[in-house]
Amino acid sequence: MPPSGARLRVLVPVTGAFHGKVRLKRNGLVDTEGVERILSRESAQALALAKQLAAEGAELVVVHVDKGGGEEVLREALAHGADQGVLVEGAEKSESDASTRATTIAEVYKQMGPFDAVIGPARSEFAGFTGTLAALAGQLELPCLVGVSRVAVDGVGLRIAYQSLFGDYDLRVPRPSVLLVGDLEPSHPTAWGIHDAHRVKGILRVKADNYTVQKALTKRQRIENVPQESRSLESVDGATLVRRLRSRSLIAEKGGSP
Amino acid sequence: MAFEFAFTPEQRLLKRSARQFMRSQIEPGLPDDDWSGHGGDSPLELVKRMQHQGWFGIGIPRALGGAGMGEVEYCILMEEISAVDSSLGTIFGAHSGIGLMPIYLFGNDDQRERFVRPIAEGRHLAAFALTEPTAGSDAASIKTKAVRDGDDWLISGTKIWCSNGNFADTVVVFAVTDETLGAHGGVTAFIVSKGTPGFTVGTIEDKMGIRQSNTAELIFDNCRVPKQNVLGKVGEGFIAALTALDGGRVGLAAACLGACKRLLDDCVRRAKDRERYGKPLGKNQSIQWMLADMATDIHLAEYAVYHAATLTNEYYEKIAHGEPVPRALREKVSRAAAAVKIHCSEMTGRAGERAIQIFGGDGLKMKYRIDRSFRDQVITEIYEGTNEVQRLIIARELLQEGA
Ligand SMILES: Cc1cc2nc3c(=O)[nH]c(=O)nc-3n(C[C@H](O)[C@H](O)[C@H](O)COP(=O)(O)OP(=O)(O)OC[C@H]3O[C@@H](n4cnc5c(N)ncnc54)[C@H](O)[C@@H]3O)c2cc1C
Repeated sequence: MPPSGARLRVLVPVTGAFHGKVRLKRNGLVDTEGVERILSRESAQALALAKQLAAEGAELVVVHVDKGGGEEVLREALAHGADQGVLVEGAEKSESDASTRATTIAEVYKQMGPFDAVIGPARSEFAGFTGTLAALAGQLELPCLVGVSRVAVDGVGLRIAYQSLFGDYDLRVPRPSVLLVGDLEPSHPTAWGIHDAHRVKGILRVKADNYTVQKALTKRQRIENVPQESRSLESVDGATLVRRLRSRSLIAEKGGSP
Repeated sequence: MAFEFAFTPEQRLLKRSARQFMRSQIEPGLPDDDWSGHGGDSPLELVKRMQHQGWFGIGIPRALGGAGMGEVEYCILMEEISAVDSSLGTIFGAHSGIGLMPIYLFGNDDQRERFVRPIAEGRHLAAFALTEPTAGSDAASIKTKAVRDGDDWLISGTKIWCSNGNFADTVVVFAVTDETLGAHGGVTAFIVSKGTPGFTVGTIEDKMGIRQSNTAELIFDNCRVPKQNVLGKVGEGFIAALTALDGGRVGLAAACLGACKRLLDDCVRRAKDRERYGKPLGKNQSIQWMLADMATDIHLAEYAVYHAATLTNEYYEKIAHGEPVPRALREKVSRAAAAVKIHCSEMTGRAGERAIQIFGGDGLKMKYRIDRSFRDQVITEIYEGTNEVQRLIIARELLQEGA
């Protein structure tokens, strides 16, 4: 239930992006050393949507699960006008997937709530953040809408406009709901906002380990937990792999074209 | 020990967001053709949007409605604005660097509240009126007079070449208050609001460059200004002007740096994309050298500009807080400001010539905006003190030191 009469509160999970040249290392991994982490464009879009509620007096709390360079990402989100920042630290080294991230964000939601909405990006730089926020909605048992471009308070609910493949919709959703931003002009931080984000506003730092309640398994743990016989993964040597790919015409026969 | 010279995370964010805003929100609104039609009008709608970004009071404390930053951040904005359009850079510089700054630095609490706050909050624009028909380089010989009349002053005279003069809400006007004392002691600065009886706008100049930055003649005919609008002390106006011009020159150098970086980007793209004799232009050593020379100029300029901005920031903070300013610091700032003004304006001139050469005939076409950069650069060697006068400042100090 929404907090009656209290100030509207919105949780905005944000993601980072790399700014600058990202190179590939010899081992095929991405070399991000010295590359600046910035707020992703999709998160700036989410903040633009959340600011529509801020214009109606809502408090915006941004949360970022740090994988390195997270403080700058969060300060940038604060510069866009968010009131408070929560940095979840200690997740840098662990493998994470949508479900793990969702559990972490759900804990922030529960411990710092109540919230009237969760507004977030629909994508992140390497993969869909939709998965994370959909998983979050699932864990919290909240409605989840994708492609939202407008939001306003409507009685005890929210009025939203959103786009799907089937057309444009204008409908009322309950509070709280999880809203994933659609195609919206990203918000631009002002100089005032940039100043306050770095010199006035504080960041609440929490340890990922604190959220041990039902802590989700990492990808590796989950694979290891699957009974041996039903594992679909097997290790093959290079020659076998090439033979199999050739047999499915996925790579060219020796000397021939694909 | 390492010599660390890098932007803070806050400055990096300001730079990145200013660049994004200028290129996505402002650039598309600029006319391709600045020559005919409405090309000569200042794009005030775009300026308003920039004001809403909190940039126009960047160096003013938060408590006065500003962004609470300083000269380095002012230069960052000058760079990013001028990389998109030098006319906008001039509007911003004439407002922030020389229009607003003297009011903040030398104004009392009441003046800061009445004039600085609306400017810093992005509601008002400012201008600086020093030059006159008979006093350009030799600014000390201005003729505009102000005479006391009870509790007021009556200003009479004509100012020329006042950037933003026709639309600014607040103009800092320099006038002679005691002919017997010369510039130091005989010139006073006044804050004059738009619409004050006796203050009218005359000719708006039609220029070859920075065409979208309006440059106006301002006419004062017994313009009555209350004594509360005297900026600083009577007789100390010339110091206020020179102090503002120091910071203004550093900002102007940053503007040139931004314009030059943009030119280099355009040239690199052109050198990669355009093919002649079956290969990209950039495969020719003659083109590579031009690009490398531009990049070298920019590399050196960048360090010098932000070093000068850091010094100016220290200087301005002392003045703003009423602290004594060591003479050595003041001289260092003047010299650094003069040096970066000369280097950056002339580097942009060289870059403009090279860019036209690299673009060939297209360099003359308006649609590529290379011609505009070329035309816009010319003024940078003239205003805020010509490069000859800047050389005089540096030489005077060198010879004094040697004496
Ligand atoms: C577009 C534009 C915008 C401007 N904006 C403003 C503004 O906002 N506010 C304002 O107050 N003014 C403004 N100005 C005025 C500008 O600062 C003056 O034009 C500049 O100071 C030069 O003065 P001048 O044009 O009278 O040239 P002059 O003083 O006549 O100089 C002509 C030439 O003689 C050289 N010269 C002069 N004296 C010497 C000397 N002693 N030794 C060697 N060489 C010398 C100069 O370097 C120059 O090359 C603006 C001017 C322009 C063109």
